[in-house]
Amino acid sequence: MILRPFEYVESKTVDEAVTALRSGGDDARVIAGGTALVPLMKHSVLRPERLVSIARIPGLADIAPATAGGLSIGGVATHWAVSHAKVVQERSPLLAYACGRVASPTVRSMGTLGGNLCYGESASDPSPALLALRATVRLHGPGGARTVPITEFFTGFYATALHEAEVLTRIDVPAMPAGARWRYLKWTPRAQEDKALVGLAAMLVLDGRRCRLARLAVGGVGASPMVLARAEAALRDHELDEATIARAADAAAGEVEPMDDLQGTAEYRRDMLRVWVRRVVTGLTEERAA
Amino acid sequence: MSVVGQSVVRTDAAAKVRGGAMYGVDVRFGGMLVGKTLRAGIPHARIVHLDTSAAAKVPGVRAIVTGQDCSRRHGLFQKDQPALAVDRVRYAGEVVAAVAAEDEDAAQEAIERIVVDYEELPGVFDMMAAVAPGAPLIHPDQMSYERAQVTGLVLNPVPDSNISYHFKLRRGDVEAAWSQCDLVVEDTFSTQFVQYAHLEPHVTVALYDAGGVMTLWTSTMGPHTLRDMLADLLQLPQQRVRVITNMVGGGYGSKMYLRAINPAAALLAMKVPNRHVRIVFDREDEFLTCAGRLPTRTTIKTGVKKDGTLVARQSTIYWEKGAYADIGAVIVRNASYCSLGPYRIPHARIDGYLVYTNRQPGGGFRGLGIPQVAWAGEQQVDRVARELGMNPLALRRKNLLGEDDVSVTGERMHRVGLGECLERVATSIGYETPLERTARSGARRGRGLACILKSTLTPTASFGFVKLNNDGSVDVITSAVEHGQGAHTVLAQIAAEELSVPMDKVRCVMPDTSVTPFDRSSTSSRTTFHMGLVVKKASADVRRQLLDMAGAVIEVDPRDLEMRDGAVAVRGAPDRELSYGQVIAKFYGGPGTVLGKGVVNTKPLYDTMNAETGQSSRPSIFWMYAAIGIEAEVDPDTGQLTVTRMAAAADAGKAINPLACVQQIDGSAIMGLGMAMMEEVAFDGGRTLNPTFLDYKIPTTVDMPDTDVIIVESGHDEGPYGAKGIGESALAPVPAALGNAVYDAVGVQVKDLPIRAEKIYRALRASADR
Amino acid sequence: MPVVELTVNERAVRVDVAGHWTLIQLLRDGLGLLGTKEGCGEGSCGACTVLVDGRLTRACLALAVRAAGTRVTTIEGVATDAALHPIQDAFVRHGAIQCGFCTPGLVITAKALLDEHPRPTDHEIREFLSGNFCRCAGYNLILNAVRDAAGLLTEKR
Repeated sequence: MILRPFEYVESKTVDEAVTALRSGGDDARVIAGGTALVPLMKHSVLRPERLVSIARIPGLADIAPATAGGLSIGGVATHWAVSHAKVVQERSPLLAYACGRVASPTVRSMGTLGGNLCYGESASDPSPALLALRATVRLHGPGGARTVPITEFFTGFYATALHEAEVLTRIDVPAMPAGARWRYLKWTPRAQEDKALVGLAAMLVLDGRRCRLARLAVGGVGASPMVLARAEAALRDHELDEATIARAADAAAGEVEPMDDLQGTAEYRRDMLRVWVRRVVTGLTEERAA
Repeated sequence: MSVVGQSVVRTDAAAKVRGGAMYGVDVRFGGMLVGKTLRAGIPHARIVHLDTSAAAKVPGVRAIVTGQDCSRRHGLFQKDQPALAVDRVRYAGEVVAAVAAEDEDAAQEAIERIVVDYEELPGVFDMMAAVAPGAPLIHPDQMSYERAQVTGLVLNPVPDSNISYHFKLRRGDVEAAWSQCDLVVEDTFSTQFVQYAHLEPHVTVALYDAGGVMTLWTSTMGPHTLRDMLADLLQLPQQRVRVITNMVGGGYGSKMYLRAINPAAALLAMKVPNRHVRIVFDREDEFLTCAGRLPTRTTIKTGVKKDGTLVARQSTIYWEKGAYADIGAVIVRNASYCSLGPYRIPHARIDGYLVYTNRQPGGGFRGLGIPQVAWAGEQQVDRVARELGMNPLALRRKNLLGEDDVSVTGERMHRVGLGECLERVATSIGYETPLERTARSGARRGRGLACILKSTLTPTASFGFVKLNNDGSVDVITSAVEHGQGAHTVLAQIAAEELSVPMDKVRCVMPDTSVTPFDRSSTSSRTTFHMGLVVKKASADVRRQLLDMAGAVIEVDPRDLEMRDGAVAVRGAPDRELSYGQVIAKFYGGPGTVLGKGVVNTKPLYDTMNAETGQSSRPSIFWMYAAIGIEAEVDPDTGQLTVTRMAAAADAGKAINPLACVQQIDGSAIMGLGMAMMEEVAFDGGRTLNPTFLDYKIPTTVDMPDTDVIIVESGHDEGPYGAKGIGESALAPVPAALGNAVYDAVGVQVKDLPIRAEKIYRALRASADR
Repeated sequence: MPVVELTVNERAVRVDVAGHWTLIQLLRDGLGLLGTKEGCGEGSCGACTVLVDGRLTRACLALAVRAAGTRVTTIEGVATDAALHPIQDAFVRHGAIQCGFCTPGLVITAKALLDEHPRPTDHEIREFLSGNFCRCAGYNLILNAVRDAAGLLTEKR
């Protein structure tokens, strides 16, 4: 399990990176932290001939407040940096928490938020949080820059909306609504240190028991991280009693196409999603407001 | 005693904590070539054509070997394994070629340029399919293989089958006994293939020098056994084969015999005399080529009287050995005869079968088959108790082997620490106290117990020296391997105690088969007992000689002399003393040494097990006993299982180093939890689906429950200070104890390992639907 | 072969590397610092953990060429003089070392833990060390060692 020879390009700007990617074609890959890419190379799943590093581009790791209480996070900010940043803990505690649940401390020190999103893994921890927050991502490529809602970013099994030679440079996170209750539940029944079988991000705004805002997103269940839109709709503008929550949980179970793998069967994932939607929403409903 | 019985700091700890200990992977030489192996990738096939010509052209390649380079086979019990695959591959990870090159990239490229044409053959991937009539034969020429006797056992392969060994035990009359029972139950259980997952991978550096001496620097648990097997394979006299072992980064029964890495490295080295060749397995090689725990399928039947007295037990166990027989027969025998549990059983019948398949060959793995058989037997004990309306602890108490009881193999047992192990774990987890059945979270709570007995390899012969140096320091010269179990510390303690020197004046040397005498292996929890006795005897030999020498020098009867604090003194006249170094100097008129020898031969005490009845008055020089108590919670909505408390007790005989015993008991118990809850090599036919830690999970700090570690000391008549073995036993009861706790919590009996949440969930749904 | 200039354990070094080497190859093969161990090569086991510019890093995944200009701390740099660091001393005294192959990576990780959480709870210790495998499975004793070291270090401060 060694790396095969490759050309290493340390880009100084995003444009440089895009150019190096474009000229490398299929044989060129972006490397940020390397925690997803390098193991794939070690297992001979990928054999890029050119690695285009974006890890040292000035500003690309910045974490800054944005207008209206939101956040602007550079693509190569590490999970560690994001989870520890005061501005993230204050403005988006759901995201801080989810980033703090990625793997283990060392992987969080190396792995980047942008890299995690571009890997497109279903069981990503930050992805459901960002979906629930309705973040957007900024992509830079040969055709220029574009903004893609995170809800359109994950397109399939380890597949994203990234075009060839595009680089994810920034994640823009809207402010969490005032009084929002949130939870990220990373459920790992196989072993305590494992990727999520159900990684459920939930955010509710309640007015008494009436739900004003419901955001639910999950990783680990389907082929991609996804918003549980039908479950959200089953909660929004409803009184959250046991029956309503159960209906939302059923809706969630009905709208996923679960994966089948060594960690669990599709049927189990579906049933467990139902259980955890019910439990998490019930728990948020019953806790005192943030 | 001043040092034996103390939790002396381990002698290897300081170097290890600085990153300064030398492991097999750290052995370096100038101009060392990098070796790599090519795996078959296909589980059962004929090699039609193997072309290395393109590989040979890669710049930097210095040697290539294939099965054609060695016509001989090797194998502990029967020589069924070629050095590298010759005309046939029998499992997907089998090595078909190896390359040595100036650097790793060249070696890798060369491996990728070897072209092999295979004709795929029908494969057998399931042991029950392998024993069914008409199954493809993995070793059609099995009957003609050369066989050897090892620890009193010779294979008795069944002709025209995939069975290479059948163990039998017959005691009393089981068939007649069933009708005397008030309750008879029968169940079938199965266990999975488990990875050793030692962090240091397999590694061998081989040198074939101009003098025709083959030297291997390798991480092995059995240097002499490896030497002997390699000498036979290469047809070299043993004194021209030398195996040197440094610190080993984890063994657990792995890193034994020749397997694939050693023949590959040695054959490459023979092609490039005077150049070192290093092969280190990467983690994929470990997952795909190397051994692991034998999967099993056990059908067990128990008959009891309504008062709980065991009348009869019968087990039929299939042991999947994979492609090559290796150590398998010892596992089959030594675990099958323990499969009915540590109880008084008047009528017993056991059949254990070693089965070839086209999957990865397993090996001896910590616990040596006891975890697998206990999984079945100890869960059935709880089932019997339930159906009788008896407490499972009470049922065990009623039947447990104790002092003077006769075992199922026909031995009168002494110093049986089993009962104390069981009682103390039961007390620790409050087994007989009321349990709040539902936790605040809604999880259901349960408790489970299990207990086992395990033997050790017998008969064996072990040898060693203790050498006193001019400055009174001591070298302990044995082939005991330090693989994390603390052997070098314990042996140093014994020498320090016997020779009255401080610990920091004693060193255990690293095994080197040219220098350190024969020892079979540092496996089977045998090192403290066997090498400990060797060191004790060798130290006594040094003492005798030194006192004779001192007597001659001081002109005093040696019986009036004593040794203390590094000096020989006249009893009652403490001012008349000489340091050990002074004794040597005066006796020889200059520098010298005192060399003591120790030999431990357990054959005289051993009674060969009858091949038809499995009876022996002493099949094992000592018996290990252990018990586990577990308290666990099951989330009824998800099946998720959490161990909240664990108590682990093992009978050490005598704890020479209590903290080192804690290390072993604690470590074994958590390794047992891994096997019980999360570890599983998944196969699709003969293909491994999860050759990565991302998908093969082992316990980490967040999986570990609070564990109460209990050392029981029941002594042993022959062991050093009464010590026996402690390294493995606490692992074996864990899966069954957890299975029993799960049943206690939610009424689900999981029969195939590992106990996964989804299995519990499905069982709960199924019973709810009924 | 590229030349990488970096600081390792407070010493400036220049080392020839292959362009596709990982940091662990730079340390072991380039500099002969054998204390850092490779257990899996895929970033799962934690045996190869070192500090790069104070950040926990899997040396088997980090690229050698990226180490240029950084300050790397390996296990060989943990003891500041001839005496062991309190974490190392605690590991030794508490029986937290069996085969020892995981020990260098664990010590580095424990050091980073105590730098970040001087008085860690048991939960924090377990979570922080969850990316370091110990197959000899001496976790309970490792926990004892880290707890003890936390007490000692906090006294020192």
